[in-house]
Parts: sequence; C-alpha cells; structure tokens
Amino acid sequence: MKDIFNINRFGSLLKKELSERLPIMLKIAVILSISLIGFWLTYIIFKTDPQVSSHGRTVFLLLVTYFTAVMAPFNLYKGFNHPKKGIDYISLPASVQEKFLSMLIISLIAMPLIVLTSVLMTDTAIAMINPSVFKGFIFSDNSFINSSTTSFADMIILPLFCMLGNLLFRGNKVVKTFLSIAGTYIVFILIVAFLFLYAFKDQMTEIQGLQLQIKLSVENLTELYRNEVFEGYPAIKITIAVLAVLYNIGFPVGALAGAYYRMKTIQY
Amino acid sequence: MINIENLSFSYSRHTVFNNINLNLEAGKIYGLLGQNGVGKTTLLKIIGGFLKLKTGKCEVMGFTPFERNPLFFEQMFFIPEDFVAPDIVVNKYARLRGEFYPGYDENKFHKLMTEFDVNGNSKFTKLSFGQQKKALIAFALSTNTKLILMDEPSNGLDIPSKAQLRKVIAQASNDQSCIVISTHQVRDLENLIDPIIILDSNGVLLNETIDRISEKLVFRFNSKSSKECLWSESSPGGYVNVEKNNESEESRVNIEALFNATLSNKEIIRNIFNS
Repeated sequence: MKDIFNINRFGSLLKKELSERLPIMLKIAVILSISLIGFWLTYIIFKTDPQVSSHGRTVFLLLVTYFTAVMAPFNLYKGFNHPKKGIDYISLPASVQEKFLSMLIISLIAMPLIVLTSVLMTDTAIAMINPSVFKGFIFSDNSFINSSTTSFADMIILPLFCMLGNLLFRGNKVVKTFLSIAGTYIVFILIVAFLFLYAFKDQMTEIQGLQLQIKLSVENLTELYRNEVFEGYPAIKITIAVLAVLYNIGFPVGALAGAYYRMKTIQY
Repeated sequence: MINIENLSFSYSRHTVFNNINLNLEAGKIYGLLGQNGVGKTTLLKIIGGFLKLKTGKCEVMGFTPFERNPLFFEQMFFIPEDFVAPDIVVNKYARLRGEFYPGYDENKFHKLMTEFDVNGNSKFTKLSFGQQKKALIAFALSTNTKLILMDEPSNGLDIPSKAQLRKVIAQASNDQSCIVISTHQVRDLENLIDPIIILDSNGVLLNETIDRISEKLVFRFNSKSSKECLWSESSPGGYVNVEKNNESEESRVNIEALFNATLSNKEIIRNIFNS
C-alpha cells in the first residue's frame, strides 16, 4: 500500500511543491491584483462614470480566477515533461498517484484560491480607502454569493484539458492545447449538429411544427434532456443523455485519466 | 543488484541496443564506457526507470524500474549529465527533497558542500555549472541510496573538483551500494572505477574487473609500437602497447588503451576473456 499512496509522504510532497512554487504563485497573484487597477482604468475610458460597481468587479474577479485555474498547469508545471527538467520531478520518491493529486490540488485549488484571495483583498482595500472609485464590496455582492456556472463540468473541463495538454505537449504547449480543445469542441458540435439536423431530421421537423422553442447548445444538454418536448421521442432523449454524459462526465474524466496515464508512462 | 536480460531498445527506427545481458553487483563502482551514441545514457535511463524497455528484462533491486515504484526511487539516485537547475536555494532544495529519502543525512550533505566549497545558501541558478553539479552530487551522495547512477559526473568540473569527486565517490561506496558511472573522461576516474563495462551497439563488449583485465591483458610502455599487439598508441616518451598476457605479467591497466583495444579487436577480446 505504501507504494500506492502514503499520507505522510503525500503531505511532504504537497509541502515541497507549494514551497517551491509559492514565489511564482505570489508573483502571479500580485500581477493580477495590480491588473484590477488596469480594469478600473479601462472602465473609466469606456464609461464616463469613474466609479466601478461591485458587480463589474465581481465579474472581473471570477474571470481572473478562472483564467488562473486554466493557465496554472502551464505556469506551475511547464517543466514536467521537459526531457531534462522533468527527470528531477519524476524521480522523486513519491507515487504517481500522489504526484498527480498534488498537481491537481495546487493547479486547480491552491493557485486559484491564492489569486482569488489576493484580488479580493486588493479590491476590498481600494473600496475601503476610496469608495468613490470602488463602490461597495465584492463579498457582499449578490452575484459573488450566487456565482455558479450552469454545471460543474463547464467550470472544470477547460482547466483539466489544459492540465492534459501541459503534460502531453513538449513545445508550444498553450497554443497546441487550445487548438486541440477547439478541435475537440468543433468535432463534438459537428456530431451534435449532424444528429439533430440529419439523423433526427424528421423528428425535429415534427417538433418545429409544434412551434416549440428549444435552445440547442452543448452547455445545456442536461436541461435539454429534462425538456418535456422530447418525451415522445425516446431516441432523441437517449441521444441527448449520451451526449450530456459525454460532455459532463466523459470529457472531464477523460482529461483526468489522460493526464494520469501520461504522467505514469512519460519517458525522458 | 541489477539484472538485465536480452534487452533491446530503439528510438523510432534507430536501434540502440540489441540483446544486451548484464549483471551488476552491490559493493562495486562500475565504469560504463562506450563511443558516442552507443547508448550509455540510454542504458542508465532504462535502469533508472526513465525509459521503457521494448523487449527484454531489467530488474533493479527486485523492482521493474519503469513501474516507478516510490520504494525503488527511495533507493536510487540519478545524476544526469546536463542538470537543469531549479530556481531555489540549494539548502532548501536538499531539505525539501531529503525528506523523501529514508537514508538522507543532512550533516553529510553540509559536509560535502563544504568539501566541494559550494555555498548552500545560494540559489542554484546563481551558481556556475560546475558548482551546480557539485551541489547535486553532494545531495545525491547524502541520500545514501543503494544505487547511484552518474552520467558524465566530471563534466564541467575543474581539476581540484575532479580530485574531490574521486575522493567522495570512493568514500560513498560500501558493500550494499552500487555506483554506475558513465564517462568519456576515464583519466578523471581511473583508480576508482572497477569493474569496467564497455558497450557497443551490438551489446556488451567487456564487463570485467581490473584484476581480471590485468590477468588477461598486459599494458606495456615501450619506446616503439609493436605490430603483434592488440593496440598501440603513442604516449609522451613512447608507446602504450596492449597485448595478450601470455606470461602472467603484472601491469597497470590503462583504461583508455583498453577501450581502444577492445573496440578494435572485439572478437579477440571476447575470446580472451571467455577462455
């Protein structure tokens, strides 16, 4: 069991990883906190009122935090699959499971949390010092309290694919990762479009004849599945279910599994 | 300690090894020699678990290296030829990594750093290449792992550092440990490496102790080259001639001459040592 997962060793690994990466994590947090000022200046340029509402700043904060989670693997683990730098990491006496979990925690939880805290503190400080510039506090804004995307999958898919891309590609990691993501998304969209425009053409024509409004997009497949419109069309319902499972579970799990497999089998 | 059977390995279409068999024991410091591109680094990486075997078997301390069991890595340390230094203070690097090695001795690390005259309070990136290498070697030796793999460890070291390296490696060796050093700079590590392994693209040409080599071959220093010898090379003041030791003469093994003699007379050398 000790070779699969050891809690003490995992703790040491997490401590080591955080300790080594803290300088860069803090650097990124400071840069993004300062960019809040840039956001305010942009606001002034495009709007006559120099006062930025808490809602606008909340959106900025959430976007910046999400962006951090997406880019974290590239910033914090870019050397992992380097033919020379990577040997130091892979030869560390910790299991692949421990290294993988540590990478997940630091990239997807610790790093975004540090940025979120830093930007929030900066915003709060500015709001306290000069309420005429930053009106209200983000943490009391309803949109911050209620912030959530339509599904956990929407939040997690992109960061997980970026983690996979960082481990998979050795050069031009960011470009290749985003091109791959775009390619995968386009293929998925094409499959969905083919199914609804050709495979189920007759059924969709019937549904349109009933003059019912349906919003068809990959992000709302779960809602689509629950839509009563398709109750009389089991084939469509099953297809939507399969697509929803693929999008909400298949893609994130696939990215996770792919990243784990890459970590386990990478050669130097 | 290390058992390699029928190992074959290739990069895409380029075959590096074909059917290599090798058995390395604890308590020895092996010198791994071979021409450029013959696969010395590749072999070390296979032993270290960084490359996957295509065919054959490689077992190290009872582990299959590529499975990358942490218990295997606790007992193995690989010092690469090109070490890309992390942006961290040396002492902090050692302290954070040392926790993963059960045998890690922090006092030994500091003692070695002092011996190598490297400032542990500096960041790796502020040190010269030679100093980075020495710091890494100091850490490697202080982990007290059973197996240490070194790829060209004396590359980038100045002359005094090479002498220090020989001394610390000799001190690090014990009955339970095995050190494998891949090197072109045989003069840097002469009197240290024993046995000698000479690799070829087709396999292992030689895997013998210094005693057995001097039993089978004689290394004479003469004023002229000998046509009957296996190898003859000029040296200041004369020639080093390598011949079959028919008269049980005692001589000091010249590793460079041995290497050249072996490459030039593969079958003859094989027959000499198999007889």
